[in-house]
Amino acid sequence: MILSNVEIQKALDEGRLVIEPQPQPTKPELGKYCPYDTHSVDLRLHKEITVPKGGPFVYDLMESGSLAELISKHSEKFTLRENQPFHLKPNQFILGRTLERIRLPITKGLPYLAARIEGKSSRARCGVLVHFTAPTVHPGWEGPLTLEIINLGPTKFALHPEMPIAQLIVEQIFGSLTPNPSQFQNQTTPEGLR
Amino acid sequence: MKKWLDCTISPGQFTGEFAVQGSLFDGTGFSLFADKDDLKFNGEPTFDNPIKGFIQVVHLDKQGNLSLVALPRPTFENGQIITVKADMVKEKV
Repeated sequence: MILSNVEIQKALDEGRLVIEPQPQPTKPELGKYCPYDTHSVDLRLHKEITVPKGGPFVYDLMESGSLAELISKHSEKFTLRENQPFHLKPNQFILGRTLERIRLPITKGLPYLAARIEGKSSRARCGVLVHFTAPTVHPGWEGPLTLEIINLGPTKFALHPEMPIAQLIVEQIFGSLTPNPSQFQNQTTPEGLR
Repeated sequence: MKKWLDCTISPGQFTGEFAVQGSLFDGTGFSLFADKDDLKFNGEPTFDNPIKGFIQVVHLDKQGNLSLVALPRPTFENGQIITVKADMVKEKV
């Protein structure tokens, strides 16, 4: 069940959903961009992006132990500035992050929430996908959301810091769940854990 | 119960993120990206000089010299819940 903008606000007020910094304004105001749609909230692009570099190597998940370091070693951080956007070339792939940190606390007695990050149609019309796998934000998640951004369009696309880049859709989970124990973040004695 | 697992830490792809490497009970390596808040280490790791440190885990079970622990994020190779040697898991660091 997807939460409406009213229910998103309620979840924010109750702490079942935490978005930091919280998108403002929460209701449409004259002359201001409102990040809330009927059942979604826009998230912005963090100024730091990562540009993967190619090389004579293979990313092989079957080889053990050092893939995170290998990926990281062959990536270059880039800081977006207001007067210096990043021009994403056709077929170029980069990683970005949302400016906002998302938290979906697992709280006993309250309905569990999950979320999905989705692109925005205006970016898609330029040929840009802002995520193309792993859209699910699981209950218990805490942190910014990583964006896998690729330009499938024929022209460059400018990435600016803090531009609305994606939208978050929040859903209520039906039924009970057995959380992954590591998802009891910031809880020292979760029920059912030793 | 939260505990700490031996690991080796290198720079990540973003500020505040690090590449983490460790070993399963059978010596097989695993790796993941983790937030600084889930790690403990001294100094600033570089690619030329990775640092020994610890990653926060939830301890789930122990049998003999093996421990079952949950990492804060999934590994690239072995999922999020892994089996490690018990002596690599520390109560406090």
